[in-house]
Amino acid sequence: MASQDDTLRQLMLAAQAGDRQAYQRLLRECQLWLTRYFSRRIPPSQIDDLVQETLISVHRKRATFDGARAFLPWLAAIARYRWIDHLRRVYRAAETGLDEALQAAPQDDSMISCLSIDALLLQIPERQAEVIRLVKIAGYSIAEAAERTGQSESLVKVNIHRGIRRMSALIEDV
Amino acid sequence: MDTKPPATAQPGEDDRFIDTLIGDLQPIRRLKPGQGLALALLVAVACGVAISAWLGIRGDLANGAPHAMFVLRSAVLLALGIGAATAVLAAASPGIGVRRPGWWRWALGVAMLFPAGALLTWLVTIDTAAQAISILDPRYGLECLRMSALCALAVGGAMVLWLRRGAAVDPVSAGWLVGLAAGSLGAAAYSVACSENVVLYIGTWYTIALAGCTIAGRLIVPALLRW
Repeated sequence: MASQDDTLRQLMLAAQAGDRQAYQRLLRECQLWLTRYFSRRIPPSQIDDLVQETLISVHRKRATFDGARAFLPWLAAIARYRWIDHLRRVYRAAETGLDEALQAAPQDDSMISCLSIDALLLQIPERQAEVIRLVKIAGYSIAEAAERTGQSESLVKVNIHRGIRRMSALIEDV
Repeated sequence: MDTKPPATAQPGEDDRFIDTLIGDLQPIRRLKPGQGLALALLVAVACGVAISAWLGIRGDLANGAPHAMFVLRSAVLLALGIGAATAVLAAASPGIGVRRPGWWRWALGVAMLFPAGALLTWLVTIDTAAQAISILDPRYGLECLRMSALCALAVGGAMVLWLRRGAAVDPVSAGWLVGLAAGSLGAAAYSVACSENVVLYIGTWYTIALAGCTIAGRLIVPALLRW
């Protein structure tokens, strides 16, 4: 029996050759997979938009799929890229204060998205999470973060680097 | 191919969206990293030819008896350039858990022998600033930098254009590698005109050229590769 990945891989190969029926099946399967993938990462009300954005990326970047490799790791890489891009936009909006809706309703979906990163920060050592919050989220300089945490500047840099690497690994493992 | 309908698929309000994507479907050619590498090498060769026509080929190479240092320098630059280019061009096709070609790190390790040799020369044999300046020949060295950077710009530009068709999911790493690959191949292209064979010179000016191109790649390329 062919595995799910093998079936999807075959569908993508057919889609790359222009087979619309195969492409329709592939997109529906991708849609379901992406909905599950994002449902653990962002608020429910944002899932549909992000799934659509990711499907557009799948469509635009379908030439980059290498038929000799598995399909789901390719899809997961694209989904993760779109998810991180989404979180970046949410944080940017929160930091700059340009998002009026966010200011008016601080407990809305955007804030829940931020919690996704907070959840990741809880899973790494506190000293790493602390400097990531200060430098990468609150916008403090390395020197200021060093002063606030009592860590040396080089240690702050090392902890940020290690913390982000751990968070990336956690994202990949999910 | 397995043609049974997917058990999990279900029609819904997203049908029109998916239909739009299906309506836009055209047969496409898969992106192959080998094509990107061929393009980068082709541009590097074109730069080498242009440099040769402009500045002239170094004498020993023109006579068919290249100096050992030239052979070593070119081999290291080409290995580093091809290694870094292979790694970054492979990253145009994303995949979580996929191993990327990493042998460029070995080439980088070998290339580091040049600046290490230059440093050793500085420490052991150079006594005065005038002596160092005489060997480094800043006027010629800056020309070397300028020409290498120009060639690197052409190679890097071609790589970026190709990579924009791909889906690099780590633009920052891609930026470092594009800079390193373009710098190495650009320096290799200029190398056919550079008559210097001294380790101090090569380890200083070529290292500056490569480091500068790599940093420029990190600063410029990521923004061009986001999608």
